[in-house]
Amino acid sequence: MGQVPTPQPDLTPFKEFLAGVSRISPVLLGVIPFGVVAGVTATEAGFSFIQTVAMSVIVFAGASQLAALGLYVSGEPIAVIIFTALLINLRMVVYSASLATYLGHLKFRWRALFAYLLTDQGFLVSSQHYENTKPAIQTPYFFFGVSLALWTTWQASTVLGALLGSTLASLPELKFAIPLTFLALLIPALKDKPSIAAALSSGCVAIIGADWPGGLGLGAALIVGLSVGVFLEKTAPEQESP
Amino acid sequence: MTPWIMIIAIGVGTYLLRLSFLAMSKPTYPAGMAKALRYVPVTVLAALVAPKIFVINEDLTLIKNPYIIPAVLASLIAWSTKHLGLTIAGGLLAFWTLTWAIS
Repeated sequence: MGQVPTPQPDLTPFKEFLAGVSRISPVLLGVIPFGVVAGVTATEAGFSFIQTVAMSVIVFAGASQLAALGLYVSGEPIAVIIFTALLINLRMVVYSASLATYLGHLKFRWRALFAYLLTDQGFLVSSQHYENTKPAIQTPYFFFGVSLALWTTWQASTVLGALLGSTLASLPELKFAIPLTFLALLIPALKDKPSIAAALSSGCVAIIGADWPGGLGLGAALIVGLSVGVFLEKTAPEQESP
Repeated sequence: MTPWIMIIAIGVGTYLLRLSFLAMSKPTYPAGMAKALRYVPVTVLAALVAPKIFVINEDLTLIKNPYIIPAVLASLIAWSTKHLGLTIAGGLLAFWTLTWAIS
């Protein structure tokens, strides 16, 4: 469990689905407290139980849900709330473009379903998997397993948060579990100099832009990091491409 | 009523952002963009991690920061084992031990 998967092109769809579930399972540890916080925060903001659950089912994007709730509580106009939440989720366009290179050959109804299930963790874990299993045919079952496990965990933990209320809302390790998950995914992905430089520059810009509104810091970090990676890859043509 | 408008507008908008490129069948990208897409995972991960570890209360915090040592330990575990579960467990354990030892 959790080991970097070795390419096994002869896996059956169900086994591939299970491989996805198993690969994401350690990440779920960090998702549970985050989902609980989303449930608690919505309830505290005055959302009914149905509204709290509906938010997690319909939006299904934790960071934007928490940001929207924060703005709602502080009485911001609804247009500002919606705009900020969508700005935060703008990174999904980049995930969509990247995932389409692996799963673009599927029927539209599959792609429409997978778009709904697209998350940070699901994209990051799956794109690593698909990159490692190249050039075998990219099947959707791994992504489906990863994403369905994330979806179920997110909904269950939101319900738990809505039921529990504020009793366990602000443990400090809740804040640390999600970045720790991302760190655990990041380090093994730093395989060559352009990747390391992209990560370092992106991280620095994200720190500088940490207090910029509505995910602008993240956007700036993405632009700088991607440019650095592409530029260094160009200037070092002997570098094997990742 | 406001919560419902909020939920549905953000939900529909986010879905359209997610669907954007997935709506196209076998999209082809310009060479530069195809290259850039390969760096998306590391770039996004670094941008999500760095502020959460180094920025506390909107200030860059390098001293009295409870996240740095567990993060370094977790990175070492990740680098040597490449094991997701071990890395997360090790980082949380280090964080708990440190906060317990300091308090």
